[in-house]
Amino acid sequence: MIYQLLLIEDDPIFTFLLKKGIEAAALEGDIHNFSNGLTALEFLTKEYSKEVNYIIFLDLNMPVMNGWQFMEKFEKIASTENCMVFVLTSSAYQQDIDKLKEKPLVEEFVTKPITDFILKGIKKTVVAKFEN
Amino acid sequence: MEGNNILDKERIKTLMSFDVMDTLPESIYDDITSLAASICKTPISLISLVDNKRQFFKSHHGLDFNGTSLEDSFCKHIISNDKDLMIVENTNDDERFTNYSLVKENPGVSFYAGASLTASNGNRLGSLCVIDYEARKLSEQQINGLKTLAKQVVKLFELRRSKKNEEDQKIDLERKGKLLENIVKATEIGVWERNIKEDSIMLSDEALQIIGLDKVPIHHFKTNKWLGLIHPEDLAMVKEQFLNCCDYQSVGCEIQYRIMHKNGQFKWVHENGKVLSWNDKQEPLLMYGTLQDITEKVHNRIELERVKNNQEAMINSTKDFMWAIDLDLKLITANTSFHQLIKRNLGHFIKEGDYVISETFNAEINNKWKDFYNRASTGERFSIKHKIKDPSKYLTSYNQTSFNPLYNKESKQIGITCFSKDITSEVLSQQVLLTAKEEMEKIMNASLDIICTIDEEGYFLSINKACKRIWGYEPKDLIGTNYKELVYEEDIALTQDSADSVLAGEKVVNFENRYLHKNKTIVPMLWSSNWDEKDGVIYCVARDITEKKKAELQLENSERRFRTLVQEGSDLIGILDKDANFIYVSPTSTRILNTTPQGFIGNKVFDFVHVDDYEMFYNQFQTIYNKAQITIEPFRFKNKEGKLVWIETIATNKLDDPSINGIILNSKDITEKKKAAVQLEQSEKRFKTLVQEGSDMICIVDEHANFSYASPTSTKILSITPEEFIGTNAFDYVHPDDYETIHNQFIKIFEIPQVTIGPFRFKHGDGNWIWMETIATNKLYEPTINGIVINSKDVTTKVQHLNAIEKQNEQLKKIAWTQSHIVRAPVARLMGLINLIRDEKKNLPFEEKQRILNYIITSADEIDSVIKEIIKTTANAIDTE
Repeated sequence: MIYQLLLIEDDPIFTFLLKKGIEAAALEGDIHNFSNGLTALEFLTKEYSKEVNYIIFLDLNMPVMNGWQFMEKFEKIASTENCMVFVLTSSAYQQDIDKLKEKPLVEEFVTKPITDFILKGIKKTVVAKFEN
Repeated sequence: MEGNNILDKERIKTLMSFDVMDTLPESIYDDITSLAASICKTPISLISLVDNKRQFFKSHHGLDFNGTSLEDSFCKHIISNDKDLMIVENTNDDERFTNYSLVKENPGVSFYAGASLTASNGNRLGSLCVIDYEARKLSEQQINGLKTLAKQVVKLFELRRSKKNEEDQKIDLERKGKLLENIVKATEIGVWERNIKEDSIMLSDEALQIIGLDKVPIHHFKTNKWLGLIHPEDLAMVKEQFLNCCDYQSVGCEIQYRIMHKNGQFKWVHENGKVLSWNDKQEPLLMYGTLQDITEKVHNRIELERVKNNQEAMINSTKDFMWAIDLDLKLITANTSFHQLIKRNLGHFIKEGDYVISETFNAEINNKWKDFYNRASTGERFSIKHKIKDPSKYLTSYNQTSFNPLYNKESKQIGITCFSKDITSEVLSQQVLLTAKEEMEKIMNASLDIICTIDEEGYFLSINKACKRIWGYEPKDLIGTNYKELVYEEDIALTQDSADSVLAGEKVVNFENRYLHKNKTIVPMLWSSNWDEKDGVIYCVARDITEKKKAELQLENSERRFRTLVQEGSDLIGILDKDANFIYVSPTSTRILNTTPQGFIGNKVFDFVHVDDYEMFYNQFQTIYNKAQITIEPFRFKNKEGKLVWIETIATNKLDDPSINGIILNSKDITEKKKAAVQLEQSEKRFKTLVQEGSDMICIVDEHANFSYASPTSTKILSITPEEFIGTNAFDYVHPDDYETIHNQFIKIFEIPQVTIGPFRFKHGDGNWIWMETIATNKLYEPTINGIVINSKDVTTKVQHLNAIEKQNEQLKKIAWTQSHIVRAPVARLMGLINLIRDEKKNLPFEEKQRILNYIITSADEIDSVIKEIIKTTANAIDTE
């Protein structure tokens, strides 16, 4: 099983914290950083493979291409078979969150800061989905 | 297996072929059983034949019954065990037989010996047996004797069978011979034999009968005599055929000719002749033949030909086309018309056997016909209508062609028969009919009156489009509906009576009733109806008489007014002489003025007028001497008690009328009216104040929203004077963006009595938009108003307030968003960083700690600047208002 962990987050401090958390939770896979949705989408468009399992941590408020715009595009190329999206929010309008909750690709909403405890939970979800 | 060969079908068949079962005893078989019993010295001997159910004794010596069931049969064992011989010396010792009734009971058999009766094909038929009441044995000689006798029995059976076959054959031959004779007799075919060398002819009875001759001696009937009887026209042919027949080894001849009957009439005969024997020189010796009377047949054939010729002439003289083609679309036959049609279309004739579709002809038409022929090839029967163009005459005709399958004797389809007739006149008359119908429809649809047909039970069968205009329904809504559903409830009974009299044959004109329009308003109708017995429908014409009714109503009102004026208008009638002295006063004076007529007579009219009105009254009254009639303005009349009554008077000069010789005063007490007028004046004044001084603007518009009245407040509110409003449309003032909403709200007024409209933007006289809110009240049916009352209010300030509140809300939302998101982000970061440091398990290197510290400082700074920003935004938001 090949795992790729995509961190789409414009705030370097959150990215730093997320990486630390991933280390601590021993969530395996190659880590890729993207400062907005567009660069992540370009990467995925080029590299996307059905053989790879993608775990995506997606921030919502970002410049250039935000989380909602990213999801609009991403759901056209991705399948729930091998992709899971965890949405990171500090806070947002409820209706904006509701809009994303309906999307089958979105696995969970996580309120920042993301803790080791939360990441361990995420690991369990990932293992449950892809390792069985 | 035991029993199986008992039931063997082959064995049963052999047994049955001897035809001996259930036959009567015969002495020859009885002799054999008697012999067998004596040889074996037994009391009983039987010839037993076994079929599938029982044994039959052809002969039963010493036993008085002729058979038993299979259960009690000894012989069956000979068959089932396939033995030539079976001897049971003591039946009581053999368990096969101990239960046999023949053994146990009567006659108490103890000994049995049987020899098989075996047919030449090996099938065992039964046995010849001997039976004794005591157990015993047989000697060899006895056994051989029994066997020999058994063979003898079989031989007798076989002899019997072959004898029976011979008899059957003889009967059959006799039957066949008789049959042939009967056939010859029945067909009345005569036979002749002719000896050529001796020149004699011998005729059978039937042959003689054909020509009506008695039997004649052979030598008297010679060839010449025969030839002499033949019709002269046929003679040469008969002679020629006869000579041909006499050529060596001819196969015979077959001729038909006329021969004279004894009664002098010619008969048609059919003759078949053949030479039977020849001499060494190949000369014919003996001829033999048959003669058949075919007169009737020939006559039939001639008749048939005549009929056929007539039919053909008929078929070929008709202008209709008839043709038949085979399944390969090749012409089998066709009549003259068809051939001429082809000639006309193709320029040449086609022959029988030719392909009926010509490739040189119009491909589209060819394909059409190929399709028809293909359909007909599958056995379908159908007919089509089509156009035929005659290019030479520029004529178009219409034909109806029917296609039918053509079958042979075996009912197999071998072709198609087609029949085509000219239906041009029918088509043309149909077209004329259609045009007439269209015109009729046009007239009906153009009619402003309703034209309809109704059936006996009152259902609309047809109706013109006028029903849409008058009743609001489309014709299709009404057809099939009963008229009663549309009649105004109160008029149903009356309408029913009228309909009944129409159905009774009465022509009803000018019948009035009321119908309910789709929008539930009442439409008065005027009907003329007529029952058509033949078509079974009522023809009706109905007119919308709403206008007429209105006019009638007005007339009625004016009549009433007139009556009122004349009858009730004058409460009081008085007559004055030329000096204005009362000469007559009506008795009503007592009631109205509290003064009896006597109180007036002889007094001057002026004496009764109130001092304040005296001058006016006097002056006006003086004019009567120059006019026929004057109306005197209301004045106060003083009665005896000094009470004042307001009086209105019309004075008529009848001084020159000899029957009156005076001035007639028609007076009326208008005290109450006067009071009411004063009150009205006051209330009008009040209303005017309201309308002129209020902040609301009151207008009246018609159903198209055209202003017919605007209150003076319009000038104050909109800087537009009432005069400017009148005649303009209310919607011309409405802001284009609000137009649709407002219009939709406005039209609801036609459904409900009052609607609230707005707020919407209305164009102020100075060109600016102001916000208005309106309450519209439907007073279209109130005769004093006849319009929609519009009560409008300037709500600009209110709307501006609402907008300001919305704007502020927007601002507040922004603040909330900033607080929840922008503030939350750095706080979340701090929380995460703190978590990281607190986690003791993570032994962080120095640089990492340094980095985290920097992050903490950055985040703290960010919070600080965010809070500052919030203060700024909040201050702005509050400043806005």
